[in-house]
Amino acid sequence: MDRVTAANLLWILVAVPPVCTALAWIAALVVAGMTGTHPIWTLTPHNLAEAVALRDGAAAVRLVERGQDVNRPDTVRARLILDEMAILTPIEAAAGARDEAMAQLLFDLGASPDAAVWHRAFCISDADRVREVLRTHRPPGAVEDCAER
Amino acid sequence: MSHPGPRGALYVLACLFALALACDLLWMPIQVSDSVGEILDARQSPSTWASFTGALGSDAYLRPLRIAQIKALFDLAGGRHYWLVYRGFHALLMIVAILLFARALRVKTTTDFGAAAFALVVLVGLQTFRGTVQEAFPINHFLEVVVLCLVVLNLAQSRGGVWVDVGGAVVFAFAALTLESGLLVWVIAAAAWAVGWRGISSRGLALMTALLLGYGYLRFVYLATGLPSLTERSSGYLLDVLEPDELERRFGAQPLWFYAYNVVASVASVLFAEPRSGVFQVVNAWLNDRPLWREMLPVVTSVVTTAVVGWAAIRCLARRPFDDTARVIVIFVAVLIGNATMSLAYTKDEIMSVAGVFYALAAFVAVRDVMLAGASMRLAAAAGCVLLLCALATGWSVRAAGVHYVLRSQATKHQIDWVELPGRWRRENRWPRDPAEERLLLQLQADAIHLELPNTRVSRPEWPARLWIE
Repeated sequence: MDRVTAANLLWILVAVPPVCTALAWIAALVVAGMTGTHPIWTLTPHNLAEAVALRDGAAAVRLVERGQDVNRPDTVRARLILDEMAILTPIEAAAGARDEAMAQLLFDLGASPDAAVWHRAFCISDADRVREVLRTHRPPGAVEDCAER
Repeated sequence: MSHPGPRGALYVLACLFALALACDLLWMPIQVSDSVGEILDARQSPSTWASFTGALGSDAYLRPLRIAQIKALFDLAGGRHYWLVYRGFHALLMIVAILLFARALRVKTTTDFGAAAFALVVLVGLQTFRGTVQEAFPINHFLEVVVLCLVVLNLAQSRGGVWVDVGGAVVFAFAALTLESGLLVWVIAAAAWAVGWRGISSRGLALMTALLLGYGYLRFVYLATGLPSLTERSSGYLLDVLEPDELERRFGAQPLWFYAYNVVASVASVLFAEPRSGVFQVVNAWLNDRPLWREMLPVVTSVVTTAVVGWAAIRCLARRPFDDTARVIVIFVAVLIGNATMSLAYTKDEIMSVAGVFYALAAFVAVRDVMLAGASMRLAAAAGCVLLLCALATGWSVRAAGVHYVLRSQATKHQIDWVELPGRWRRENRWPRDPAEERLLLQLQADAIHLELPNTRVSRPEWPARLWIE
C-alpha cells in the first residue's frame, strides 16, 4: 500500500467534499424514489384538505381525480394551518393557507360551499385576494360579517 | 486487483453528478412559460424544414435551428411522449456535458483527480450553470451551446485530422444557427489554435472563419436581422431590474454606458458571482434584511477561487513554452471576453453559461498548480494551502448541492403552473377551440400533474431557503 504523504493527503482532502456531495445527492434521489418521500421535504398530504393546506395543487387534482369529494371536510394536522388539529373543508383550508390560487382551483374543480362553509372560509382568511375569489363564488344567503368571531 | 486509476475515478464521480442532475431534470414537468407557445407552434408547423425556414425571417435574432429542433422533438414524441422526449433530451444533454467536461480535464494523476473533483463542484455550483438546468423553452439551448463548445474544445485537444476539421465546422454551423452564444465555438477553436492545441488545424479554423463570415453576411446583409434593441427586454442595472420603457428613458439617448455596464457586469458575475443578471444582490439583501449567508457564500467562494486562478495565471505567464495551465487560462479569458460582449444588449446569468464552464476549467488548472506547489512549501504555508483548498472545496460543494434544491423548487413551480393553466386560460378566453390543440394541452397537463413531487412550497424545513438562493 502507498505511504500516506502530505501530497496525497491534500488531493484526498480536496476531493472529499465533492465526492460526499455527489453521494448525498444520489442518496436523496434514491430514498425519494424508493420510499416516495424525499428525505428533506417530507410533508405529504393525507387528504384533499391537507393537500390544499400544503398548497399542493397537483396532489389536490390527483385526489379529486381519484374520487375525493371536493366539498368534504377532513382532518388537517396541527400546525399546517391552525396550531391544533382541525376538521376543515378544502375551501376553508385554502382560505386558512391564504392562497387565492388554491381557492380558485377548488372552484374550478367544482367546489360549491354552502353559506355556512363559505362564511367560515371568508372569516378564516384575512387575505384580500382570497376574499375576492370567495366573493365571486358567494352562495345565496352567505354574509361577509365576521364580527361575531 | 485492477485499479481504476485517477481518470477512471474521475469518470465515476462525473457519472454520479451527471446521473443526479439527469434524474432531477427528468423529475420535472415541461415548463409552461416560454414553452407551451413553442410546442403549440411546433404542432402547427408542417415540418422541421418549414420551422427552420420560417424562423429565418425573425427580427433581432437568427436562431432557425432552435425552432427546428423543437419541431423535430415534437415529431419524435409521436403524439404521446412529450414529457419523455423534451425532459429526456435535457437530461441527455446534461450527461453529455458533464462527461465532455471530465474528458477535457485530461486527468492523469491523483493530484489531477483532486483538482478535477474540485472543478466539478465549481462547474455545477456556479450560478451561470443554473441557466442550463433551471428552465427549458422547451429545450435548454444554453446547455446545448455548452455541449457544442465542449465538443469543439475536445476536438481541439485531439490529434486532429480531416474529420476533426469537418466536425469543428459542422459544430460551429449548428451552434451559430441555434443561439448567438454559439459563435463562441469559433472563439474557442481560435483560442485553442493560438495556444497550441491544434486538433482543429489551420485549414479547419479557416473553414470555421469562412462560416463565421458567412453567418455575418446572412444575418446583417442578406436577412438584415440586426441586433436586439435597448428595449428588447428588461435588464438588471445596479440594484433593480429595469423594464424596457425605463431603459429607453434612462439610456435611449446614450446607450453606450448601459452596454458597457452589461459587459462589465457579465464578466464580474463569472469572476465574483456578483452582480447576478446585472443586479447587485448582496447589497439588495443587506438593504432589505434578507439572509446574508446564502448571498455571501457564492461571492466569497468565487472571489477566492478567482484569486487562485489569478495567482496561477501570473505564475504560468512567466513560464515558456505554454503549458496546459497557461493554455486553459488563455482560452478562458478569450471565452469570458467573447461571452460578455454577447451580453451587450442585456445581461443574464444564463448567457454567461459557456464562460462559467471555462471558469471551472481554469479553476481546475489553478487548483492543481496550488496542490503541486503545496508539496514544496514550508509547513506553515502548506498548512494554510491545505486549509484554503479544503474550505473552498467545501464551499463550492455546498453551492453545488444547492442545484438539487433549485431543481426541486423549479419542478414544483412548473407543476403548479400546469395545475392553474386551464382555469386561467379559460377565464382569459385563451383556451384553444381547436380540439387537437386542447387534447395536446390536456395531455401535457396530465403528464405534469401525475409527477409526484416533494412539496417545497411551504418552506418546511426552512433551512434550504436560508442556505441556498432559489
